[in-house]
Amino acid sequence: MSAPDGHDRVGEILGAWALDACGPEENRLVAAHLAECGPCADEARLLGAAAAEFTESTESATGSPAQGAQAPPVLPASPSPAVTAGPQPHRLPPPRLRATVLAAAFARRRPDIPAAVAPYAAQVRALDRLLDALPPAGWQTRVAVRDWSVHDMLAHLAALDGVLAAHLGVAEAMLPPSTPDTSTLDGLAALQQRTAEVQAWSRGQQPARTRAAWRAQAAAMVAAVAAASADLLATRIDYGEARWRIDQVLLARAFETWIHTEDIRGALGMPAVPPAPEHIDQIVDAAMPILEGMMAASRFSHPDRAARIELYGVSGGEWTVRLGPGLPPATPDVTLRLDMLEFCYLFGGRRDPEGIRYDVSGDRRLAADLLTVAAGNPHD
Amino acid sequence: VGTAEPPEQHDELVSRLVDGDETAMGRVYDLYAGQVYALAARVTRDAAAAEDVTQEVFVHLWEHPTAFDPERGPLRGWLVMLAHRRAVDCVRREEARRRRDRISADYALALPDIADGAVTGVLGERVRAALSRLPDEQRATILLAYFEGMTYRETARTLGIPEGTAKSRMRLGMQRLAGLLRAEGIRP
Repeated sequence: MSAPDGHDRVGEILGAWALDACGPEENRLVAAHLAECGPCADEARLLGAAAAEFTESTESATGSPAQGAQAPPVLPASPSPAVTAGPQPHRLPPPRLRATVLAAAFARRRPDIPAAVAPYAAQVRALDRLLDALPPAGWQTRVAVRDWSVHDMLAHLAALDGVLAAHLGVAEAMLPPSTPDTSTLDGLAALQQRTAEVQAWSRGQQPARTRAAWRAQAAAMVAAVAAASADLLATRIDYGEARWRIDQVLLARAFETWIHTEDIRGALGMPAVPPAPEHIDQIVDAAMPILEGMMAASRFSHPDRAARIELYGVSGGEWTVRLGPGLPPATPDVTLRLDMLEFCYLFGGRRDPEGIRYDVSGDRRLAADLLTVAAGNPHD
Repeated sequence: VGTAEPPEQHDELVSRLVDGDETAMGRVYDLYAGQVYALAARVTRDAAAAEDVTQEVFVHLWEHPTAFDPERGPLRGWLVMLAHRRAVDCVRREEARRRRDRISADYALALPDIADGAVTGVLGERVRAALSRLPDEQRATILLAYFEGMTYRETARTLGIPEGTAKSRMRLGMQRLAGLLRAEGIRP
């Protein structure tokens, strides 16, 4: 968009820009140019970082006047003679300012994250904290999924988040662009290809960069959902093998982020940390229609049959699931009772259907088929 | 871009801020309020304005913790940059400008210098050393712009030099400064 001489014009004022010595019009010009010119962006970053060094970089300036050379100034505290050419106002913030500033900040607590995206946001934070504690070597730790490292796992999450992000209008410039023909593949193959693409890219990056890309994209998605209309969240998109509403896919992303975070914890020898009960409720609510779809499409489909699933534990509830096409019966053909977390791990492909404990009343064969299909959920 | 300071602990502080952790916010204030306030006080020369700037900077961080991108440098630099921008805005507001006009004559005679107590209180030791190695005319434009909050036009007027000269002195001086800081193993 810039004029042919935009580059030179911006170059001339980059020093002034780094010192905040340009006018508003020039600031806009620089901002627009930096977005499209790598060399100028590099120089701007360099000069800006140098300007940021002008202030003392000691880390305990607040309230510690015993800091040697930095003697407290002699000016009286009264702000009335505010402008004098020589002397300065106090260089140390008055102690009372701390309470004032923090109170002002906490009073303006950020708007609550909308329920639709809260489970996802919480799982992203949980994983992000786990990565905080990860020593550099930990990134290469193998997890029990394929032969992926922790780094590969994060690239996989970023890749699939990105499929949803695109539908939310979030363009993540930090991730490599997806190849154009991805959309011609069938659902699962497209997701797998995108994973392979982002993993190939990430292997040439520092893990911190992959993490920053994943986190920035996640933050942008949360912000986009917060600003989205109910209509947008109800829009159906292609995701994996079927078309799902965006709010369902958000919960699928929360679920996958949770399960993979547990994979990483497991690889590091750390105990599992389940999501908040209300988030598990939301995730299970979204999982049940998906399970119905999987039953209908599987060779274990039982037309005109239904099961009741009763879950208990961290939270709980009852769900009726159709086991195949057709009209469900007035009363379910079978009732299963099992631990809610165990059900989630099973549905996430982290439990064996034969090894899971459950109570059943009614047609045992239907129950076994349902659990077999649930465990076959094609999560990585 | 490598950083000398391990960013991990700051990353964690920022994650906790994203989580709405008030303790983390207190910690960030304790780490950086001194520098934010000192810079704002130096640029605005007004204790009340410096307090306002400090409050704006930290409230902004609390409300928009994800606006900070750790890839682009340390948290300290980002907060200082915000503080400087807001302090400069404050200085350039009409009222403040009139007030400053009264004192501009003094500045024309006594340009800020790195030996000046007012500036040395804010400048880091190593940056002061690097600045002292710049040609006088480059250093003068940089100090006027950064610490007096002058635009390059105002700087040119104050020094009686063409605007183009002020711009190029600022750029050359900042490039040189960045090179000196890098050579000494300081960020960037």
